[in-house]
Amino acid sequence: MSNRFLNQLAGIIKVNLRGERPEKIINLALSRGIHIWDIKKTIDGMDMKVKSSGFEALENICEENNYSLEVVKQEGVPFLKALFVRRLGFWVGAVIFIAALYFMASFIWFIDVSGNQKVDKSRIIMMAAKYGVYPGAPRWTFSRSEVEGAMLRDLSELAYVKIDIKGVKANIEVVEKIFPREEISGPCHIVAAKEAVVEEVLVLAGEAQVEAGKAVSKGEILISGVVYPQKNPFMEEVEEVAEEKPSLVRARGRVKARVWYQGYGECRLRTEKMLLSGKESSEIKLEIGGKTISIKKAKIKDYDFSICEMKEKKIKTPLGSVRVYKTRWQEQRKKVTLYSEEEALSKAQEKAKKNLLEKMGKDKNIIDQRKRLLSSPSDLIIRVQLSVETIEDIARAEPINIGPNGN
Amino acid sequence: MERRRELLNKAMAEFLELPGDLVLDLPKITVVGRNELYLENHRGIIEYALNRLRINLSRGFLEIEGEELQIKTLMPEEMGISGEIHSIRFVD
Repeated sequence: MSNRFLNQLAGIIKVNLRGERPEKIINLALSRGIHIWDIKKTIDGMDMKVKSSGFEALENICEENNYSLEVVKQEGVPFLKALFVRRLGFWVGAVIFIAALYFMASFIWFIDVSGNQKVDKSRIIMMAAKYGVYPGAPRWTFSRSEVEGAMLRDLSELAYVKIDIKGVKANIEVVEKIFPREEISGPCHIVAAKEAVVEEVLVLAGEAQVEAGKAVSKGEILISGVVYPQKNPFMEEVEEVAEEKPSLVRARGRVKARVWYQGYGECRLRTEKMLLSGKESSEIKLEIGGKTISIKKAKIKDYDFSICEMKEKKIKTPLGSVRVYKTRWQEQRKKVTLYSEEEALSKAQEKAKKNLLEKMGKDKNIIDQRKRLLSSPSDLIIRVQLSVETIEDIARAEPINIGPNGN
Repeated sequence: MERRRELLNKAMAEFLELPGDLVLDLPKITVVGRNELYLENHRGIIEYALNRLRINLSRGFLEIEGEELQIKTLMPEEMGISGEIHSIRFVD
């Protein structure tokens, strides 16, 4: 049996044999050793397959006996070449496409930064761009480890940089350094963090400058870090000769004080608001080389009030720049809300409370709370003031300036 | 004379228990189902049509009747036929 694969390799020709009694040709071909298969009778002759190597011999037999032989189909590897040549454009296109795809895939097109918390993303991207990793950068122009090293050197806040390239996307993964909290190690005062009335002073180091009941302003020294030596009552005045030189210490202590906070809120009995109705209309225009082409026309219906938003985009192309203008109108509608006095009061109170919390912060030890209505009954607006009294630690360390101008 | 030699060959083959298709050039037919037929030791095609195929043998010929008959392979000693076979008949 002949091997179908080998036949494909050598090439197969399907022919149509015509003439009286084609069996004669088949027998002749058989006696001459021409391999023929898939013989099938058709309406006008006989179809058969023959190897391309035996085709010429079969043709000779047909010529000798006045039979006509017609090639119907050519199969196999040798004829693929003809197919290839016939569709040269297609193949060239396919090769160019694959080459272009491969070429484009060897660039970085997207950059993503992850893991950064304090360091700005744009700074990391800028630094990466400086060392050759930017959108559009060819992959062969930079070495990952070199860029990572250079970025670590330049961005001292980073502890670790890893550039992960997946296809056309570069993912820059960073880990930031965690710095220890800045601790004042030198001598310092304890000052008031805010205006308050001192309630209790506990000195651990230093010299108290205030006592309970004193009103202090912001920045006032509460516990001084400058300590004057005191006379020892049990010692005789032997060392009186020694100079009384103050020593500097890092003052420590806790100062509890009353602090007041105020929050304000108001609410009108009648409010007017402009709301978007949802209706809108837009217009798009293109400007190419001094000519303006309208792509989408606006269909404005009678809007009583509207917001107009304009956007301009410039696209640079090798053939010149194209400007795109987008205009958008959004209809607005007036909404009037009427409140009763109680409603307005609660609204104003809510606002005042919110305002107060913003100033005060959470988790405070509140000892007193007062509410005051600021507006008169005839007013169209309700104003509320909330006052809160808390007790908190107002101590804040501040280093002592020991400079030429320091005290 | 020819006939006598053939008979002698046949007697020899039978005596020595040799297969006839090898010694005597007798046709060997293998039929697979109704659609496939293999024939060894043929002597060419006499007539081929879609419903009738006549194949020359060393003595007489073989007539195959059927539908859509097709010669799948054709080699000097061997041939394969496909199509719906109705009858196989030896004709002298």
